[in-house]
Amino acid sequence: MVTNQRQLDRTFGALADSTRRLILARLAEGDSTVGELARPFEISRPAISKHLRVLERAGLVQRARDGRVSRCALDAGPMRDAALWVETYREFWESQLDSLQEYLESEPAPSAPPVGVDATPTEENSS
Amino acid sequence: MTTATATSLRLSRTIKATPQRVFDAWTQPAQMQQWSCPEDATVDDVRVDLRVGGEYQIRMKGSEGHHTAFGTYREIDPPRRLVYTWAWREADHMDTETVVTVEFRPQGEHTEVVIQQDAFPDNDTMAAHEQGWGSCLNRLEALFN
Repeated sequence: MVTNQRQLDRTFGALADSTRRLILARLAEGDSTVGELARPFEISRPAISKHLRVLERAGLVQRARDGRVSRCALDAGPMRDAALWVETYREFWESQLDSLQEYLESEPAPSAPPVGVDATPTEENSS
Repeated sequence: MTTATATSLRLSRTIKATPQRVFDAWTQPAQMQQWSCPEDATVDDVRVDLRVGGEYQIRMKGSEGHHTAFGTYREIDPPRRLVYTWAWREADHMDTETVVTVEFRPQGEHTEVVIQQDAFPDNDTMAAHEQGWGSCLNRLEALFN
């Protein structure tokens, strides 16, 4: 899987706003017109449109004209890609913790220096 | 036990060492060099400026070449908690920056290390909506699972 970094950044940037997250949650329940989306929020139509543009640019929302209204629909693809990317870190951290556990549990405990003192740790042979 | 969402990851491990020992292993360069990379790689270089706003850098060499992780410390509360940014820097690009929160929770003489990694920056309004967002996310994720 080739990670499209710019797309990921756009997705995370889009998600880094609570109003946009709520818009997505609302669209997860079903398609909506822009008007219907704006209603729960105490912000103006232009402000909602601005959020929608960010979401569209991230590929999270598709907008289509339906006669005289714009209908918005959620595209879960970018969310899935974002989740997969975040998930790759899980394996990394598990592996880090394996290493840390082995390092700390197989060495005898040195006398712990107090915090703030720059003590040189004993040279150990790492196996 | 691990949980993950589209934007954050949480995992924990209990280690048979005191929180102070674990915190020191996590923050002292000579110790970090011993463990802070996966099994199939080695740590080339570690630099740490352990203060709020200070930077760290961990350079690793794997079979595919060098990777550097770097970031800035945001909170340092020894031996309980560390918060710092984390991003991979490759030769040709920089990865998305994330925020890592590590807690070292005492469990008798042992430590439960809890790691949370968040893929978007701090947002004050997050906390207010977090509860709603959790259940919203479940519905969103049901769409692509």
